[in-house]
Amino acid sequence: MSRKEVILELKNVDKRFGGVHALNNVSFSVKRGEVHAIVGENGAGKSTLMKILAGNYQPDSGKILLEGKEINFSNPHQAHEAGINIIYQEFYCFPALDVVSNVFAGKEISHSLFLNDKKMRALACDVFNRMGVNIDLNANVGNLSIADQQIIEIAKALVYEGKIVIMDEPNSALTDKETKALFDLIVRLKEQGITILYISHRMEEVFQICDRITVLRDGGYIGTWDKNEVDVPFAISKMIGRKLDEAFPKIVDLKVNDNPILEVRNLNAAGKLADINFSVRPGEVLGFAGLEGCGIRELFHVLFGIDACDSGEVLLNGQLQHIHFSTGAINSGIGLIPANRRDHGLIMRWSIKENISLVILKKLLNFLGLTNQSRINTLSSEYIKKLSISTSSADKAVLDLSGGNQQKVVISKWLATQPKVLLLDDPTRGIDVGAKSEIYLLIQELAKNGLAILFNSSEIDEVLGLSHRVMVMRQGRIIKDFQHEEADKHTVLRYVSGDILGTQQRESVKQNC
Amino acid sequence: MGQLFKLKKKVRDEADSVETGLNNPGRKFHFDEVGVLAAVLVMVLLLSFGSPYFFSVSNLLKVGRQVSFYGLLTIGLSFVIGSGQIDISVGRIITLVTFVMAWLMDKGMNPWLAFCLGIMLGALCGLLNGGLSLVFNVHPMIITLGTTNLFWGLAVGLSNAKPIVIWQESSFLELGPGKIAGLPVPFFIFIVVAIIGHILLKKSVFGRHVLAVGANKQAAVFAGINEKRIRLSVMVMSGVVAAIAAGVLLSFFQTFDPNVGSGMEMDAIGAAVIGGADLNGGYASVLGAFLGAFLIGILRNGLVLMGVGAYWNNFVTGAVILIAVAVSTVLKTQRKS
Repeated sequence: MSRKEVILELKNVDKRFGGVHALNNVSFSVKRGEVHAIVGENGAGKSTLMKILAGNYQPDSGKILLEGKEINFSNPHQAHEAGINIIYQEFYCFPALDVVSNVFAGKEISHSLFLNDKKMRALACDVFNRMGVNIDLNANVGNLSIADQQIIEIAKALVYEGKIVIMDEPNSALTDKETKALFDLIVRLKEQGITILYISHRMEEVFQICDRITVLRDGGYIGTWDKNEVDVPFAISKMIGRKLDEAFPKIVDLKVNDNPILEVRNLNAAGKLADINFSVRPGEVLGFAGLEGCGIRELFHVLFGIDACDSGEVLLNGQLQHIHFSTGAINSGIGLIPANRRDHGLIMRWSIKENISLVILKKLLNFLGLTNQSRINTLSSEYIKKLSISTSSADKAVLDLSGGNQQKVVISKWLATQPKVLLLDDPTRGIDVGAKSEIYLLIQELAKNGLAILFNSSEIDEVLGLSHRVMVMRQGRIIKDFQHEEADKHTVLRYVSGDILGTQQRESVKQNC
Repeated sequence: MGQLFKLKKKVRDEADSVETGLNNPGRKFHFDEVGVLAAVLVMVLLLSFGSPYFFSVSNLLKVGRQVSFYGLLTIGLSFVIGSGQIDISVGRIITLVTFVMAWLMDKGMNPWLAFCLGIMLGALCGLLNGGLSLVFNVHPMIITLGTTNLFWGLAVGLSNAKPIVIWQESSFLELGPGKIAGLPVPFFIFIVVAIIGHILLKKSVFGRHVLAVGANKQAAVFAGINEKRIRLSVMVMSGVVAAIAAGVLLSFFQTFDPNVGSGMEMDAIGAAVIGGADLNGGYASVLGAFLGAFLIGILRNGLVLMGVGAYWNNFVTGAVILIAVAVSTVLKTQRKS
């Protein structure tokens, strides 16, 4: 095991996009049958490197050797033929087609003119069995959850006998249980001698699953370490080139006598939410913990007016609100930073300033009732400065920004409405470590200025680290309420996973009996 | 040195301001508009050499009038396309509305009143298009394909496919052939509607919301925009503008002809696309569409003057539309990369 042969070797790989030096003279090698992590901040060059290996891009100079032979892919098909398969982070599926068709999209098996449905079904069945997931092969992919779609994306890469599988944040949409299944699968693939290149922002899991770790920074190669030689803080310091300050800022004490700004009473939505009661005070960060589909997102959408509820009351500043459309929520001072930045949060091809000004355009008019360009400019430059969005100009399309900066644009857009309550749904998903800690500081800063924040994250540490109180949701109910001090990760996770049932749930179980 | 740097920066900023069209719906000028203007000027130059009759005030005013009819449609369509929809029924809304107005006038109704009722009918047609599309959640292409036949069939059925000539004396019927400020009235109305449309699309909250819905429907909803209302409104607008065009046509020709409006939707869509409208939604330009309508109009006119027959005229016009779209697409992709 110790002296494995080299399967993939990169020599002085260089790639530029216009003025951006995406990969600067990168050289390293990958051994057969290892799980090799590639880590780095956004813009470090990980994705460019993977896209070169997968044949989407061609390097400007340098050599890539696969099993000692130089390879030069001009398209993804050639990479696939050579045995390199990739699972993309931003994946694309065909929502109108069924699961089998999606797994084999573009690589259909046929005899002469006709598709060989039988064989494709059998292979698909086999791959899902190997992955240990249960999925309806006839389901339309558009009707499946994001997590299931991600599983299909993984199946696409595994259905063929490959030598190397590249995984670009494969579990960003998976629940803990599904992630665990994925890791089991990775172990099995490794036993079969398949090499895995694993890209992730989550350092804990990198250390959990990978053998060796390669760090990239600003397009340059920093080094490769055996996982046993190093620890998480070391890897992070290599990634960002400096020591990261304490991960979460210290929580500010609340003023004792403030009345709640938002109160929710007996909120119900059939099949989604049951009996939701809570309140939040100005300056309070209220964290939500729970699994995908536990009702947090649904709760946020009901409060914001995107989805309807069946019964219940929402009080803002003690006044009853009738929020049945998002305009109502916005006018009452509720803002939502949605989990899906690209589809829900932003108009990707519009510029920063058009995005920031979209919601409050009505307040940026001139005396003729038309939009006032200079007020739009002032507003956007104010927020670019305030949130330190790094861009050359407010006219740049948000498409061209990094994930962290895109998220700052979404936040700016909502801060511009001067909300009283801000719902943050997984604001740090898919953004790099540096930008994450900036968002943490921002959340704290906003809370200090009296904003009430409801905060959900797929990373439990963030919820525990940032919130004054943590509420655990499960199956549409709030099952437990923790103060910051009493919320230790182990206990919270036991509630989240259903290992301990909360009070309300226990009652409902009793009723069912 | 400082001066030179400032100058360079200014030049660069101006270049940017032309280039980043898609990103900034609020900008004054976009690349496409400048491109179409250049194409119009080149075409005028070429046709002036091609025919001695082309470049005269009276001929150009005539072109202006001819362009107005489908030109009006293209302004409504800019909003529809910008919102990510399409309306191919506009030509037949013209047929139906013209018939109803002519019939009412024939029965002795005051033409101005008939015109007003006609506009309401146009709005109703648009409401039907947009409403059906929303209720059944079917793409407006399919809905308007259906209503095209519906409106046309209604007009032809009710009129027995016979023309109606208006004999009434009325200021409304003197309008069409008349002039305002030296411009033929239809052309004048076209310009006024275009200016209103341009301001509405580029400078109003409504226009921005239309483009937001076209660019990303879900993000628009999450930004508190009532996307259904927006989608419905633009279809109604398109119907109203088509009805205005119908009124202008009727007052000019003084006759309802069952073939009126036929094929106009294609010139109108062509003009909008030449002007830079993105059929995927999210971007459209009234100024560009206005110039696009002119490009098609002067081409048709110039070819006639050069003695090119009607059949080949269509061929050449079609080819020019394709070339214009191809050039603009190629330039757009090049700028992106």
